[in-house]
Amino acid sequence: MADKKHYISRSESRAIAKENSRAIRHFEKLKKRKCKPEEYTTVMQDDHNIVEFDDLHTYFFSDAGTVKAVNGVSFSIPEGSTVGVVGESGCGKSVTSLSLMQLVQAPSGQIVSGSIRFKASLFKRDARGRKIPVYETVTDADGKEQFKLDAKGRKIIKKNELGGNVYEMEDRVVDIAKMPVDAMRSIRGREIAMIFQEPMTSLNPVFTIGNQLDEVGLLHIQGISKAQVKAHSIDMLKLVGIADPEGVYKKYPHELSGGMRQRVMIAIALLCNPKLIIADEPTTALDVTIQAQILDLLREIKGKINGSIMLITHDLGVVAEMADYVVVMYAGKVIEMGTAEDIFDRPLHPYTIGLQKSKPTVNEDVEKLYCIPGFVPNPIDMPNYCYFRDRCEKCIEKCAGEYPGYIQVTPTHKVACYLYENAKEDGDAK
Amino acid sequence: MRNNDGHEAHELLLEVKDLKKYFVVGRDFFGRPEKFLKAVDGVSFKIAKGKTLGIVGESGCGKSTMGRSLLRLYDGVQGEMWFKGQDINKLSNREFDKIRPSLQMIFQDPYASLSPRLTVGEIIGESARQHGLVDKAHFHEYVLHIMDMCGLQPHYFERYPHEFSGGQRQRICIARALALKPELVVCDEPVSALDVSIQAQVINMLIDLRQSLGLTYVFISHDLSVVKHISDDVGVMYLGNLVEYGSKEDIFRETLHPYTKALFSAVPVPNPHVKMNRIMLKGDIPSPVNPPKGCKFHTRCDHCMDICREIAPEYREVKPGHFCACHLYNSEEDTKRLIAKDEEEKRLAEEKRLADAQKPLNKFKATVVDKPVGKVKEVVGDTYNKIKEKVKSVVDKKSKDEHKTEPEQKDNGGQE
Repeated sequence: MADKKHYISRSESRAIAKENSRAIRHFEKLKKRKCKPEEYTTVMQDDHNIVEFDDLHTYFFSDAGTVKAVNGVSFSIPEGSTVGVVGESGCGKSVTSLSLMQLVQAPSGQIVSGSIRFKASLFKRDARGRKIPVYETVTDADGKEQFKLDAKGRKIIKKNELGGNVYEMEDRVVDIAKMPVDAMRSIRGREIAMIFQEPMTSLNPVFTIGNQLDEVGLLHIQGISKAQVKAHSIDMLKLVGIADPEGVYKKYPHELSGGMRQRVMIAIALLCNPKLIIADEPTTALDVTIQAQILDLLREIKGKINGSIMLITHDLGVVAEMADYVVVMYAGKVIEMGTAEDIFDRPLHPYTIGLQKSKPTVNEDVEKLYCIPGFVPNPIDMPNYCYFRDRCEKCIEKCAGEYPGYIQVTPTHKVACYLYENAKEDGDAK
Repeated sequence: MRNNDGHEAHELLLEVKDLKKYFVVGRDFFGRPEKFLKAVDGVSFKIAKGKTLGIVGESGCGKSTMGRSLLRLYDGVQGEMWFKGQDINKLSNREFDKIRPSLQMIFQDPYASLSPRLTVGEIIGESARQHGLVDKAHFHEYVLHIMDMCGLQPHYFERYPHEFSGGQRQRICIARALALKPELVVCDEPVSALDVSIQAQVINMLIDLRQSLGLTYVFISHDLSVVKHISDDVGVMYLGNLVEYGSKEDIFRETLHPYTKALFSAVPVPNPHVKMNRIMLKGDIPSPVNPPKGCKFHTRCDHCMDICREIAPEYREVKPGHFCACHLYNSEEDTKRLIAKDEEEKRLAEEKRLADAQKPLNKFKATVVDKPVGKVKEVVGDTYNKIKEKVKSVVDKKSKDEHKTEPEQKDNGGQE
């Protein structure tokens, strides 16, 4: 460390600033462009997935250089399952989820390459870009279907159970990484909802809880009236287990406790029946007893709305309890993924093993905790060999080479480590 | 703390008796405290030299306040704190300064507890120089020795805290505490702001230092697994009280208090096959400004009985060395005694209330006195009493004179 300089010279700084502004201008232009939906429509690799990350790169163009926060992440979230993303702080797990929401802190943060495929149901639009309503029909005496007409002879638009107009929808797979900002608005909050880390800071202190809930409903549920939205919001507050929903509806965030605020956040996320809920460290700021309540609620709700959850956390215990699939990230890359049983019973990557051993558990006694030596490499100049090599105790000669590719150990279990190159062949032999 | 077998060999370092710290949250018109937040409400424990006491509890239960009270970082702490044969709570500030180096603290947030304007060497050595532990000539050498002990490289001496990661900063905080050669170190959530792999490094270092320097820790944390790993004795706090206290083995194997049971069952276990038989607590922790009557935990307790709603349980030794405050472990006599005590208290309170009602009015309390005819007059405390007596005496005198005439009184304020 001592010989490495920890400053940037003036000319270097100028060069970085120039390069950054060029890159940022390029990506901002792409995001604001007008384009036809066909441009960002793709197809899913596997039809059972709801989201597929494919070689996603999200960079931050900072003054000290380009930080590769997400550096080639690929994994998928199957429909109706919970995927846990684990890793230490700074490993890029939050940025991955923010990329999916297109909420990366712009202009410095940009999705540089890769794709995020999402199975969305969007409004069908006619040639002029208008939504096509669904009309009420009646079956007449001849058995033919005819449009129902009102007193003035106009067709009546069908209403849903909340009282909003029904429009024709179509299922389409979109690539969120290539989507312009305005098109994303119809997905964000409606199809994908996010529960943020800190319930203390993510609610607006100057609006009532009811106000903040209604806003989402009025934005995303078509043709709904204010009274209907209020009733729906109160229903949602009831659903997340708030004892006095009418009272809480009128309160301000500071009048609620941490657990209650997190429940309100979940209610906001659930308001539009999203297909995917991203829970970004939903329980980190809460006490264990409240954490247990919130996790229980999330599990219950997942069953009710039949959606998927992407659970981001650093707590292995929470992941073991909630997740069906686990993705372990380290320094912007996925190093291991598999089912929860794969990861917890047969962890392969030295980092995963170290992470599990370094956390004391209530059930077991250990003399001395295992600790992973060293630190996470500097995200600005990553080495070109395996990022974990300098901290790894099992590293072999091959590790000095380029970053290892994924090795499929079992059909569900993938790992990026040279140690298991032969494991697959062994497995085939068996 | 312990029964007599085997553990008496350890010298007692700190004994705390009935520690209380109330914060004033409301004052009346005259600025006198009226409403209190009972952050710590009567906590007693003992720590032997070289042992670690773990304190667990939810946020807002008063564990940090308790830790800070041990170091006299607050004014107005009640109770006794016997440190090496001295009640440090009774010492004057100047006397306490001599003891201060042996009581040190590691704070929770390594990002907020280091001065951004001082170099690492200065941060670590400043207090040692202040207390005269090291002279100018040996200052550099002394600080480097402490830094080496905490795994900090010598060239960090000239650097500033912002150049370090969270784990390194926490090492600096530990070095700062150790530079004074303390005997008791209060660790207030030292690892909760750190990542898992860094947590392990810091915990291992704390354990190593405890062995090599013979330190005693009060380890405050909300993370049960960490507390279990590092502690010898564990105390569980709820709303300012210790609800359970005992050796680590007792607490984790034979959990007594329903709150402790719920707390333990709420910890997620990193094993997908373990299906916990979870005890879900209802609701949130009540406000410490207005704690529930009776047992403070009864609002969330599964085993709540009638007695819990009325009478606060006693904190007593249920098993040898294992303290618990819960009515579930009362014998019949205990219950009877508690009820009798409660009734006695209620009776006394009632008597006191009646006695108060009899007393002359408080000096500052204004009152409105009705006059049977005419206007209502407002009279203040003492004056009122004086007038009352005067009127009474006059009336008595007149009544002796067989009510001849109505008394001609200037200030007939009172009326019998």
